[in-house]
Amino acid sequence: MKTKGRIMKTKLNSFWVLLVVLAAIFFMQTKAAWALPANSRVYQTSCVTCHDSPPRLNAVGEAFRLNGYKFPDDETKRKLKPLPLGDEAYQRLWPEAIWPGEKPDFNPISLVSIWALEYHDNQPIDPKTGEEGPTYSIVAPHEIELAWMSPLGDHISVYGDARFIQEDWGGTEMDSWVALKAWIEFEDLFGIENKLNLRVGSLGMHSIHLLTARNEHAMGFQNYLMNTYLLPGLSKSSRTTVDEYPQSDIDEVDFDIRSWVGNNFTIGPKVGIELNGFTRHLAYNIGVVNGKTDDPTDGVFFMGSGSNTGRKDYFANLAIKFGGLGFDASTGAEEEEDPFAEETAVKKESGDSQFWRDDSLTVSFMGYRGEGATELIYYSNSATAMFATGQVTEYVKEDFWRLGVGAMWKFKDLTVEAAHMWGHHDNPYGDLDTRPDPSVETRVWHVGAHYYLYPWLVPFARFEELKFFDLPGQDVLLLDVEQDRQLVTVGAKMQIRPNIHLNIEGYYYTDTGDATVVNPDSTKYIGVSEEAVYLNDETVMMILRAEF
Amino acid sequence: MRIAALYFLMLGAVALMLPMVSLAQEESGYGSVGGIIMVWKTMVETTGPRNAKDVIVYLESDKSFPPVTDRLIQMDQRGLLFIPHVLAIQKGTSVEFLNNDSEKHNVFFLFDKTGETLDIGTWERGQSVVHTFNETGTVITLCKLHLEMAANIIILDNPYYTHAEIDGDSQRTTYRLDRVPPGEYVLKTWHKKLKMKGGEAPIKVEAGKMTKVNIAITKRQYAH
Repeated sequence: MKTKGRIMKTKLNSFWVLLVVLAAIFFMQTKAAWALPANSRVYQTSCVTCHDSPPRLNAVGEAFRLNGYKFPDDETKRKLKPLPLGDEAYQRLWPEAIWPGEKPDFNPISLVSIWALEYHDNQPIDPKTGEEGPTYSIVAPHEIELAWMSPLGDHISVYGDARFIQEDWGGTEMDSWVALKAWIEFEDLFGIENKLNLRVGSLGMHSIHLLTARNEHAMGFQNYLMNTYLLPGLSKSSRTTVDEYPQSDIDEVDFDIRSWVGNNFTIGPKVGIELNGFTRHLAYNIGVVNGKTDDPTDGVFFMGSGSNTGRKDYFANLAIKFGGLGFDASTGAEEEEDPFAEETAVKKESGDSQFWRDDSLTVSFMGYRGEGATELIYYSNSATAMFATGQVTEYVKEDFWRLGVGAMWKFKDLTVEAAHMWGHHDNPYGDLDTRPDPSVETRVWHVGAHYYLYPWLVPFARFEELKFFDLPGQDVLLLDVEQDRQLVTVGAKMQIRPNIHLNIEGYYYTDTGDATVVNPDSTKYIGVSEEAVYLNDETVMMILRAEF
Repeated sequence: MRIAALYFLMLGAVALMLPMVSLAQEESGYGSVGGIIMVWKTMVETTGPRNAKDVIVYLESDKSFPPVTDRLIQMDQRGLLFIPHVLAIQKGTSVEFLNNDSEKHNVFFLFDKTGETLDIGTWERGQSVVHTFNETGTVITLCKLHLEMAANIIILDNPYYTHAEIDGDSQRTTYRLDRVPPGEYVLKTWHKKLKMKGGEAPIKVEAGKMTKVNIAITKRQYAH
């Protein structure tokens, strides 16, 4: 029988474990990739050729990315020539010869470093007493990233990055980890130019989200809420015995719930295979990825790795663009057919020369269907495995899906974007939830805008709302039913040099639901979800990013 | 200063001689064909061992020419390269393939027109093999031991061809075919990667006159 004090201490420790783990997951989602200065060297051009505000791609950069990190008619722009591996003629000798290829003539490695200064107005500053107050943190570096990307000839491209991330969680604890991503893409399969490409590896970057709400394109430092939210979790010490979960299949009394892992799905990098393609007006990708039950949270790991369910998740995305530069970099204008016409032609005035302008409307759709699992481990008669007389592990599968629609409208210096996503989970709390219909629904949407006040100064604002429907509630799991959130992000991005950027941005929750009541003495903390744990206060961040 | 003066003197001499060449052609009843070659909507590499600066401009006519019988040209293998790596010859010409590298080299033909292949052997430094090309077409010449080594031998029916080299900065060059008998021809080009826009150009050569044809070479998708 545990004493009240012991239970309290366990809860306190568990709170911090939960906080760190969930916040780690949250922050692992920050910015899957930054601008890549190696391309600057290859093409001897400034970052703004491809980025309207790094890492956000402009229309030229989008076409460059879709085309396997090369321009259409790449030879006219590339200054550092690739190294040929074999003559093209060998391709015709198939199968009696190795096909030729190419590799970069130098190592196209980019280095990105990020420093952060954080202010939180209301953070737990003493985990023992639960005292809260303002905190200031200098996190230097917050992130160091090495990224490598290159076409390997006309029809193969590769990408990889290794990101060292350091977090101090408001000054209370320091954590660091290295997250890796890598993929290889085979393009123009069966000679179908641009429309059929196969990518294998860490999918998700620019890929699984709505094309108009990609984390890589968020103007602020934080990713979109719709791509990062989790269902409310349970602390492993939220209940001490099975008695308190009478609805569970497990009948024995005095079992400790030592581990509970819910469906921690977020929209982000996963390991799998994807087909993608694009035309002037359309871009699509469909794929299959590993279904997962948990994420690594420390050390060195590939994003999207971790225990998987043994089953596969499926996703599909479609984007339609009206106006502006096409996904294939075509303008829709009539091509000049006389090579020598320009000898005598009068030069016409070109249109807008601002690198960020691309008057257009892009509509995007996404769907994701997955099979997750909840995992519950009990130890009998002991809180530790060593003294336990038995252990029971329950896996309960649960199906879930996401459907999203978004739009981005660009008009001169203004960009407005909005998106809405529906979510459904069949049984996210497994056997712990014995309601006749244990399903949970989610709705999340956002609207945001940014404006190029000057080429180097871009103020931005975003409003996001997340709603949960049919959560089990206090009577079943002691979850707070009210877990909804509204988040306002306001900031400005300053491009103080082409490769150095400064973000100043603030986050304010206008609705944090009951989850804001983070009181270690109560049981309410067990239901809080990740952003609310970490960002239940007003936060201001300054982020300086430099790319080499 | 002296070098500059000498340069302009030579240019002047060449300019003075050009009308004499034209005059000679007019007297002998030949015409000429010339113009600009322009790389269009793309760029070609003009430096380095695997450059693509070479363009062959040639004329085809209804008349068939007999193969030449007494012509021998050398193609060397040195520094893991075929030298020259673009060679235009008239049919019947023999090519001696040398090896001046310290390692073995192979010569392997891929006949562009038919897709057929022919391995004429592998030999040591100082040895050579002679092969006579009696059929027109392009023969891609490879070394099976070194995947980067490649040359192109363009075998033509008649002697009305010329070899031009693209300038790297302007992506242009000029060409000129002299001593062409009057008549109707089809002008064609060969380039390792690029195609002539329009594919070919029918031309008429008149005695004592220069037929001007500007040529754009471009990627296959723009060449229609």
